[in-house]
Amino acid sequence: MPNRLPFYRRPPVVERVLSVYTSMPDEIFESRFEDWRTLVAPEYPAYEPLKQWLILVKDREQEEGLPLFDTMQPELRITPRFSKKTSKEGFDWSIRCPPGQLTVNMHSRPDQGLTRRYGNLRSEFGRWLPRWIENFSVESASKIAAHYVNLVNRHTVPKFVTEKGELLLGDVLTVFSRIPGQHEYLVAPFDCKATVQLQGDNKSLLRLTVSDWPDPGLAPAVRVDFIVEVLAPKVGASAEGIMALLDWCH
Amino acid sequence: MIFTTAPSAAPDVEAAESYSQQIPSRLIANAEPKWLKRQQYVYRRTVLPIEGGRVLLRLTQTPIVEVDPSTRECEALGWDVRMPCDKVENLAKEMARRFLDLFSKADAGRLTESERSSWLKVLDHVDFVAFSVDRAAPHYLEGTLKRLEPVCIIEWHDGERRLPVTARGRDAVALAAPSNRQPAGGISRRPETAPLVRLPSAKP
Repeated sequence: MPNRLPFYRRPPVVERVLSVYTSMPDEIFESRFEDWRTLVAPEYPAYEPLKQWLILVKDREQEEGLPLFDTMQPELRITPRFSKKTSKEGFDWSIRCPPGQLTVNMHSRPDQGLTRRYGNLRSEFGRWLPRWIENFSVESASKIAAHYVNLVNRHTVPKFVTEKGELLLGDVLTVFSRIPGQHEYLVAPFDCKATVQLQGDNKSLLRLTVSDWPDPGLAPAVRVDFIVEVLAPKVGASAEGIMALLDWCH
Repeated sequence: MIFTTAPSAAPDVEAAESYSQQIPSRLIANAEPKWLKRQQYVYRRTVLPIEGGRVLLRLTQTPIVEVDPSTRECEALGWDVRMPCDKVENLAKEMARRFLDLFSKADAGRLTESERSSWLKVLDHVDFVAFSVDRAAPHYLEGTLKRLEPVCIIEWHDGERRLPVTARGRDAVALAAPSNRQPAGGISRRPETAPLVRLPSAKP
């Protein structure tokens, strides 16, 4: 690991995700998936594929903006997913590996003292990346991504909560503090998105999403997602090169 | 200036299990659809693994999965494979099992009338020729390595030339024919789809 990774003292991060993508023929994936399962299963024994039923919603402007389901291409997507605990046991570390993708998820509970760091996830991802490259004969990475999910509420940022239980969201996220006019409160739903092309040699994007946290029990709470993507990285299938870029994303 | 959230700002969203997250113009629902009419979904697969991936069943059509909201079951159309929606992760395995079941009965001439109809429908969805080649017992085939780099070319005994395009294919050739103009015995004509250790049949 590099000597000087950025360090954040008390980040309200509840989940960190590192991913690498490649172009992989289905034949390669299917013929070697069982070997991969044999490697992963001893450490990640819970196999719970992610099942997603995807639909497309069209905004039909010519019909006065009426949103309609597009019935042409609904899609069923099943993503292989291994984890250390089942969802019933309190889902924890997981590895997702659909064709052409390796993703490792790590959860944290800063409100309960479980403060894992990027270094923890980096170590785990760094262990599995070379095995994934070898098992599936990966020739080059096509995309690298780091995704942090932040939960902003009274438990994770207690210093930003008033005695009345109000969350000083404007102090936590300055994006809300410059809206002109006189205001009383910020009221849900919160919804804000921005994408920034980052400086540097790589073609990279930072995507920022602010939205409501779906669990009403944690309210008032806001979810802040940071996603950094490096597109077409020039690292081939070098595990060291991929890890260096993930450090840069962090 | 805005500084705080409202004290009762409980977000007006659904419970976590039906929570939807949005990626550009597409909703991902983590629950089965609840529409009243049958809905069809594309299940993007081009191959089904058999024997743990040692043999691949190539599909000629993208499978379509139809959901019946009244029974909460889904069906792979053309395969006669039905299962509860919450078990849909087993769909590929069940499709492969269905194929093998019908195949073994067809091979033994034990298909019933309805199974024969199902078998014909399934055959419309799979590349049966490729399956037959892949599962056939490997046998020795003599060829001459014309060149290894930059593109590997083998001339087989019947004069056909074939290019093993993958790294594994080149490895196979290099192992079997370490020097030029040596017999490349046992190399598949389809090395791009076959693991080196199997050396499957070379006869298409």
